[in-house]
Amino acid sequence: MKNKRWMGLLAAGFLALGLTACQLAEKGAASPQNQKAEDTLIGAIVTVGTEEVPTSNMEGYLTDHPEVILRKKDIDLDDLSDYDNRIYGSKEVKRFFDESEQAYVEREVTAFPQVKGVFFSFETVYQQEDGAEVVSVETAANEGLWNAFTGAGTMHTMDMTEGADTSFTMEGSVYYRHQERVPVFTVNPVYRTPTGEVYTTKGISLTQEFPPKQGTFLSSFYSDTYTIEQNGTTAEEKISLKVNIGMKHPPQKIILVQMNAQDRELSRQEYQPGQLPNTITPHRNAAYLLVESYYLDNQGNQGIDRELVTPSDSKLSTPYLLDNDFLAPQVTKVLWQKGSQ
Amino acid sequence: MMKQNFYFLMILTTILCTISGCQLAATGSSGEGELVGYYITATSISDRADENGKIYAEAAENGKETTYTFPGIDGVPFCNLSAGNGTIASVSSPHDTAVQEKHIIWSLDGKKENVNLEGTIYISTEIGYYTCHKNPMYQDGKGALYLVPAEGPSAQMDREGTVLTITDSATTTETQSGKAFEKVVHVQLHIVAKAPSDHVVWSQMSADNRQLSRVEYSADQVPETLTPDAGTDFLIVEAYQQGQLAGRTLYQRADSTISTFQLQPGGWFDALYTGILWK
Repeated sequence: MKNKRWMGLLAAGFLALGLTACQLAEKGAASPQNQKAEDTLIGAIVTVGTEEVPTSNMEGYLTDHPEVILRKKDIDLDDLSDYDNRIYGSKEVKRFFDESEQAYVEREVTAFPQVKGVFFSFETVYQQEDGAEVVSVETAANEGLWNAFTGAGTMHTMDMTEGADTSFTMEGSVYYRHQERVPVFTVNPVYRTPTGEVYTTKGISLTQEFPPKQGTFLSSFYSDTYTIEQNGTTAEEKISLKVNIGMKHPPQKIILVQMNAQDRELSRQEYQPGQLPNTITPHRNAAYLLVESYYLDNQGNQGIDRELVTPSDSKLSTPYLLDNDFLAPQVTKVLWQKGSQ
Repeated sequence: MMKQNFYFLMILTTILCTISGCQLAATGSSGEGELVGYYITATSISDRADENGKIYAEAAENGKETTYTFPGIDGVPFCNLSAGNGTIASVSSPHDTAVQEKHIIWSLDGKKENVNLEGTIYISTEIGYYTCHKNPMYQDGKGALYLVPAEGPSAQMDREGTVLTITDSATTTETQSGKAFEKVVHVQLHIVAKAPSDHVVWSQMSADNRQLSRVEYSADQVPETLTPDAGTDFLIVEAYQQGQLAGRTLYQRADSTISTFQLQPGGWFDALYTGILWK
């Protein structure tokens, strides 16, 4: 029996688990436990427009399919998809909030500096610890990704015997600067090769006619199934990736308001976007916080976007504008005092 | 380098349970159906299945609308039915409002079509240890709808905000112009633990965070519409259970409805919607 930890968790009554993820992806070649013969879906880059990641290698396609010119045959889009160009990632030192450590860290992670967009990745890693196999999730800096979430489970409800198939779900949201017209967004999938290289290729483009008032309004979904070898046995691993896309007005200022149980203000503190402290400790009589993001809409009118933060929340996220016109969340830990309700 | 392993995940209150597993044959002549969703029940319904392990719905047609029901089986339908030719098809149940945040995502990825159906239902924290009877729902090539009774995962759900997610996926393969074309259907339902409430308090708040009014309602007596005062910029809704605060929710001008949740005997909550008529 190879999987004591999985089995232990199942005995506790849960068939699988989830997390909000943030962890660095710093592997070289894939570990022997994680060896796949194919390129593995590990994330995506969301870009605006369709040209950030080059489209197909038409020259290569025509070389291999001379009949298109010689016999004036139509280009087969399915075949053309096999000639997608690739952009490879590189290593960069980045500062980001690590969910597992609940702190900001500075680490070397994979990045795509040549692509203007939000890059994020989640990657499953199988390792042996104390004789048991542990499956963990590693991520890149994921700057610009909101509500990051990964989950894992088995594809066989009660059968956790050797070789049971595994399913991983990855999800996150990105927000772009609000526009009168919704731009075309492209979700470019990111893969890791069996030798450890990370690359992106052209993806799915999507848009809609009218922008919503708030929230995410577009979604893209990828899934792939892989065969993995573990200790001489094979199993299937299914990876699903979902990206939600929305638009927000970039805030001009952010005000944190502390409210008591009678809905009265206890205090207010103004911050510049991206300049909030790493932690805040609300007043002991604070029942909840209002996070007010002040913005100018596309007509120049001022608006306020509010978020409610209650004692069940251990952190809050406030938006700030990135150079690429996407908005990233700045994470602030909230240290509630005893007695808050 | 530090990793998050699954022990760490256990500490978190969010639990994702992914149960997947149906790989179907192609629809059509094989007679097998296409996965279209779930029918969540409070208890097992396996004793209602026929010799093939299926429970068929009754269909009622009214013009271009077909309504399916599963008589005598109380449950929450969560599905996306295909009807075709401009017709509409749906599953009728008293618990139509139990599924929140329902989304259908469709994408075409090269040689593969993905359909992703996602939603959320809330169950009471008073249930404690919860077993999900998810009952996958299928529609065959002739439009017949049936359930395959199935017991899903179990989890301790006594803590507000705990999430149990169930997922099924099914792949069908068709041949179009000599090329194989895959359709992958993913159904994902988040089951979220929520404390029940017996009454709610709606506070109207001004732009400078002053409370303008405060009104209390029994959870089953909320009005169908609310017209906030002219100076109201947002609402704070408090939910109480036996005098204890169970939670707060913020509603802004971009929100058009307030959801008030009513606990049902099956352990899930149906929603009562109140339209917000902002001035």
